[in-house]
Amino acid sequence: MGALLTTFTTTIVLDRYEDIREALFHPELSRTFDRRTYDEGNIRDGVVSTSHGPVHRMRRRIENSQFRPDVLRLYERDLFPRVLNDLLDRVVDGPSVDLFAVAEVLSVVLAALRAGIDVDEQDLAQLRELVRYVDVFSQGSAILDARDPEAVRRLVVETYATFERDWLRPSWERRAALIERDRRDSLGDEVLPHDILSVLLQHRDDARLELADAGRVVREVATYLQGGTHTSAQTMANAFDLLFEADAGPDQPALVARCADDLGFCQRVVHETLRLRPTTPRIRRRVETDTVVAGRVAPRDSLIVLDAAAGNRDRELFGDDADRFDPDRVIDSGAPRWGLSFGAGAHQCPGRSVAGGFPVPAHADLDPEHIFGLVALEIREVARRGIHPDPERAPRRDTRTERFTRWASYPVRFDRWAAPT
Amino acid sequence: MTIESRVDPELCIGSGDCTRLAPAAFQLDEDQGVSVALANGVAGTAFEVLVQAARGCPTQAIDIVRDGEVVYRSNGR
Repeated sequence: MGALLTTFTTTIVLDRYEDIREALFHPELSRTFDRRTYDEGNIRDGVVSTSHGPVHRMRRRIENSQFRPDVLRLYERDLFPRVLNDLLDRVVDGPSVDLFAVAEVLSVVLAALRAGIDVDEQDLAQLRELVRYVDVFSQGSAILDARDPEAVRRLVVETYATFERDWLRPSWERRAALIERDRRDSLGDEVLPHDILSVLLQHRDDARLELADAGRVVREVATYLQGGTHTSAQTMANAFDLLFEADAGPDQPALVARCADDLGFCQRVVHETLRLRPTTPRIRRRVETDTVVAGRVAPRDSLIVLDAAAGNRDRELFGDDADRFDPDRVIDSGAPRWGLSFGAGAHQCPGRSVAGGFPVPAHADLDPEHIFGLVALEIREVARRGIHPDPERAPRRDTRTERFTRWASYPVRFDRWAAPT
Repeated sequence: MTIESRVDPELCIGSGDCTRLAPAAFQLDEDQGVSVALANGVAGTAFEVLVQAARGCPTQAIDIVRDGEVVYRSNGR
């Protein structure tokens, strides 16, 4: 791994669910690996997901305003359904397509809206260009698992520059003008877009947020664009991989067919997929000051490796068949169905409810205001088009990373597809 | 039995997890971006639900006090 990691005083690996959860809530464990080792050109410098302490809490306070239930409902019930089927008609344009590429285009529309990047949702060329940016930023977000970290760092630095010039600055200038007008004429909240870039610009004068460096705004918006697109797309590919495998098994449970009719089932598929195929299988933390983690003495600058993939299969919480893909699994332990896959504690994924919806209760009906999550919506609509594996082309893993849950392509066949116009 | 709760405004990041789990007991102050405990709502919410909200709080910002005894303590003190 070379230059990107520090030399740690010791390494502690935790693989039990409760131990990992305790570590994720631990206030003395941070995600700031980068500070001392590659300050120059640090691709994650100042991004909320690697910040720590008061600045992290301040940033999360303003950004969390974009993940309130009323905003989630607006996206899930209004904005997304309007674009979902239209986009599917255009990207599922033949009997055989790459499901991962389809999922990326579907997800990038909403991720761009949420991040604050103005994009023409009807323009497939624009959407695919944004997806190419996401692919680079995704390599950056997984740099600790990259096979060639220095090459990734250089690529990401170059890509930030064109992203800022071609995408972020036009969106920034439009929002800055609106904010200026709002301050002068009190236009009201409804005039300003509901997105991360807008809230960052609205509060940028607050020194406690440490956003004076424009590069931090660029990296923050890119992080939300990447997180909102890549995780959702990978989860959809992993979901159908697990569904196909189950349907081809001896019991032939016809799970894909169930997805076409049952949004609640789709959501449980998403959660079960995330549990078995976490986007970040191994989470890392650095110890800020001498402390104890899950009963283990952890000196300052220890590396704590949290094996979330193992913790998500902890039999004490998920049952003796925890290795099996079972979206109907009943979990009485109180653990979320997705296990540790959205993280936990201060750095838990802010977009958790966007992608995965609200938690599903073990023994109660869903609330009428329940949020199912956007990946569940995508799975239902894709299942309705008669998806099945492509017998002639095998899926390919993303070999640029050591993360076993990432796909490079996932060819599938569709029974129903729209001819290109 | 008397139940009280307090949210540490320095620790809270306004995730809204507590307001979703126990909407009568906690409310978001959107101006400050943090959650606040509502005394009447706390008293009317099941103790187990309050503990669940405190345990699930991402920054462990919630104290739960039962009959004067702290039964769940935030990370702030």
